Amino acid sequence: MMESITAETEVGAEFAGPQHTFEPVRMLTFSGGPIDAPGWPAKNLHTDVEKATEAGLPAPIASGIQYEGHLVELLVQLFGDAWFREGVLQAKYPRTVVAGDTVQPMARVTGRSAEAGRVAFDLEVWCQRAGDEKVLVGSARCAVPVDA
Amino acid sequence: MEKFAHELVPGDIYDPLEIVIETELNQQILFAQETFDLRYVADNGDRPAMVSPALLLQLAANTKSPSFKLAEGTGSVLAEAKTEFLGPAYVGERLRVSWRVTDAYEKRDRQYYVMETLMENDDGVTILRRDLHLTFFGA
Repeated sequence: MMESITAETEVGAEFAGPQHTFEPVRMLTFSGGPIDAPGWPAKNLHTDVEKATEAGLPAPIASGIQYEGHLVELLVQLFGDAWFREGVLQAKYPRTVVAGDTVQPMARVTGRSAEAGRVAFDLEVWCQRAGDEKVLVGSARCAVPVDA
Repeated sequence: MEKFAHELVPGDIYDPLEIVIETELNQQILFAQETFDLRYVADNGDRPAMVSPALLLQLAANTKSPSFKLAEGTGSVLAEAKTEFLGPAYVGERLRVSWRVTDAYEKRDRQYYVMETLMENDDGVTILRRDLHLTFFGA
């Protein structure tokens, strides 16, 4: 089981989520709409070669929200249910991801501050493609109780 | 709202989306994300399973509004997003998502606008707020 953030976690601590390979079936399932909808999957930049070509892309690209979702899942593992009540995430998507790419969500503690029985943490967060290219960069903030 | 997505200006509002989160849709996204944490698939005490946060992010996209309309040959690109998670969502709940353009700016010769997304649960409680920084190609 992955380590969680506790009140004792120090600045500089780094956390890695599981690697995810963007298989076409996962991209279609994420971006194709409800699987029982007529004509599934919906045609868009993430699911359809023709749509991607029209947009000047060599191939469909994964939705940035899909790997942002992997990052949020890492933050849920780090902060537990507190993330759903007060997690804040700022994200930019500097590079695209295509089928076959493997992407891993990462987080590093950059700051901590005590607040009324809690410790709030600031994190640098990113998603990296194999080869250390960052495809998402950003920051996150959440708090844990002092006794956590 | 009759405008194409790239024509929106601050103050414009999209029609809201109302959706009941069914188990099947939640599990579809869990499969896509390779995430099978028990909190998303089993009851949590007196509550149903939680909705995957990836599904919440997806439902907050401007493309999910019934008003979303792209002009021929254009595409919508999400450049940046700030998300505040304000409360959990549970399978079986009806969620209401609304969108409003709050700002517009130019950066490196590209036009962007900021669209604020609010997601409310059955009780009218805001459970997610997300600011989308959007730009358009081909426009």
